[in-house]
Amino acid sequence: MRDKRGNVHFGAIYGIAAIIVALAAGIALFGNRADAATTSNAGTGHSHDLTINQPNTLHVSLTDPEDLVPVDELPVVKGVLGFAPNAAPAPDRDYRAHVEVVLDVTEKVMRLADGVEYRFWTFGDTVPGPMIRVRHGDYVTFTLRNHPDSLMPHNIDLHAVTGQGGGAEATLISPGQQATFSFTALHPGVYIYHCATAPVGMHIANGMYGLIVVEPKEGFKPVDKEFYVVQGDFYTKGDFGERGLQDFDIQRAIKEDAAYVVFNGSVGSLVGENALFADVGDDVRIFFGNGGPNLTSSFHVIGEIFDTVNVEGGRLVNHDVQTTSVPAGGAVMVEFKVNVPGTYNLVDHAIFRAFNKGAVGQLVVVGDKDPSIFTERTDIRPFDPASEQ
Amino acid sequence: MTSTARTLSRTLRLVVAIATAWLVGSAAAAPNMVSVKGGDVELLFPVADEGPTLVAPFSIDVVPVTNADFLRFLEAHPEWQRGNVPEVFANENYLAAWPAELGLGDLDPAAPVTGVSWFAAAAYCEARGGRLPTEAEWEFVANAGYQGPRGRDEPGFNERILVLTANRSHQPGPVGQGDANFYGVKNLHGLVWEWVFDIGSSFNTGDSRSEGDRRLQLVCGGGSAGAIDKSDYAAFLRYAFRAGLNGAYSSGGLGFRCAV
Repeated sequence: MRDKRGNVHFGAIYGIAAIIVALAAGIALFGNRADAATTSNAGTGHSHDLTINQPNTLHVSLTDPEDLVPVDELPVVKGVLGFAPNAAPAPDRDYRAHVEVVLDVTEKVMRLADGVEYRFWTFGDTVPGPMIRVRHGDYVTFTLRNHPDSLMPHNIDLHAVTGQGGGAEATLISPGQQATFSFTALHPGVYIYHCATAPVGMHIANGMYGLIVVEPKEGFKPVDKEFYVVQGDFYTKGDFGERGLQDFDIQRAIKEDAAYVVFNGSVGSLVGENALFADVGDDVRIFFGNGGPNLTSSFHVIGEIFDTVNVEGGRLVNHDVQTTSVPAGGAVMVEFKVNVPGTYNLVDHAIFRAFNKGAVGQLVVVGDKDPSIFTERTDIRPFDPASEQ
Repeated sequence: MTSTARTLSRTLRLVVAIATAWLVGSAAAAPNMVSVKGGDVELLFPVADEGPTLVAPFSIDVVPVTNADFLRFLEAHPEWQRGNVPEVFANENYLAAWPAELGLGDLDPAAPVTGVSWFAAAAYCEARGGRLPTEAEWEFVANAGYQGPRGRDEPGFNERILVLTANRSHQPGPVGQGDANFYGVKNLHGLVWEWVFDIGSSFNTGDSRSEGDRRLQLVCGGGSAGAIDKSDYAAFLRYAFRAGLNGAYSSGGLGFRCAV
């Protein structure tokens, strides 16, 4: 590579580099084959499993013939996304499918609060990123596209994924690149997804998270209204409300000293004309996630009691719950019937966050009053302890 | 590790560093370069448990290569023009912002050239009698502050880099603006990302026996597991960016400078 005059001959280095690239590609292919072989052998290695000779079939359930349909014979459907506060529509089918999901990554300045702007890093131009909803057992081909105008590499870790980093390694892409990987949704539940590129905390703190819901095969019970809300904590140089384009403050993030704690990416995103609306008598379901990065949410709806809570987004169902704890990187599904008209505040019941850092949303319930359940104030008069004795 | 072993390890690293310096050439520094004496650099992800990486003396460009510089290179080396360069050396984004193969249009001639692949950047430096800086060299210079060789010792240094990096523009201004750092080098942070010679080292160990391990450290929970300084978020950004690259890649935010 070097001649007598001491000059390096880079032609040779290009050649070597090209060989390295080719080798790496070969290793990648070989690696995949090896994985596939391991997977198809796994079923025969355990007597309690079904013996599955077809590769790429799912054996999470021993009773469902649909799980045995090879992936390449599954009907291909486009994933439909839901943009907060609207939940993605439930899968309208009772069979396993090959779902194609595409998500774009952008970096853009958006409103964090009135007069306060922030350079968010986003999935799908929004914070939270779009809600993804698939069916238990679906084979999902996921494509992540990093916009050419991005300045950072990004990727995605879907907590609904069983496999390396939830797809993080497979989707690490520089600006102007896209990457695709596939997974089978082995577990029903409500899951966070987030960017997992170093520094992970910074990517999450800039708004890169959302929910992926894996619907049970029998589906969730029908309700009248479904909403999509994700909490996040933000760390800005300026304190809460300080105007202008605010820079990310790393020291503040490390100290977990959030300047903002908000629902759906900004102060007031669910307030006033942006409030959630329901009618008296409606059954309401909220898919609630906590993107983090740091704080655990004490999710509460003031004046309501959750009829059911799918604890941590899983299959454990609790009833008659006032406040549910949602860890950073966790989610929950709550359901309640709205019996009384009025405005209900959604809060993080770590209450200074609600009233001083932004974690307030509103559910406005419209309809007839029912005094047998709740009356407004019926009486007001002076209280004189002396006269009462 | 015993002190004898430590000394031996250090001697070996010194030999490796000198051999590397010989291998990559040591042509005299051009006028727009500065000489750097070298020394120990604490890379974010050190190789095994060997401690700081030793960097041999080298010279590096004061500023990134500009559009005007690269235009002259293309005139002299037509094989690197957009229409001629083979696909394996440059993807479809190569010089995508240029309105013509040999025309800058509205692009600022004094702005750093971007949209160049690793191969093209390396060829440019070779044509100039140099090469791309190694990752260790680049980090050695970029770790310097404005008063001393360790920027981290200067209050607010890391935060300043972080903000510059996160809010940098896709239409970078001319090179040479702002303060020179301790070594007299400018624009290391906040103008463009820069190619380094050994992009693969961000995700390979030194002997390539455990390929991918270091790359894995840059995604998910492993991000800080092996890092020397967990507070150096700006370095995490740089390493993560390199981990997503391959030689034919190019982007509007990625430029380079040369070293010898």
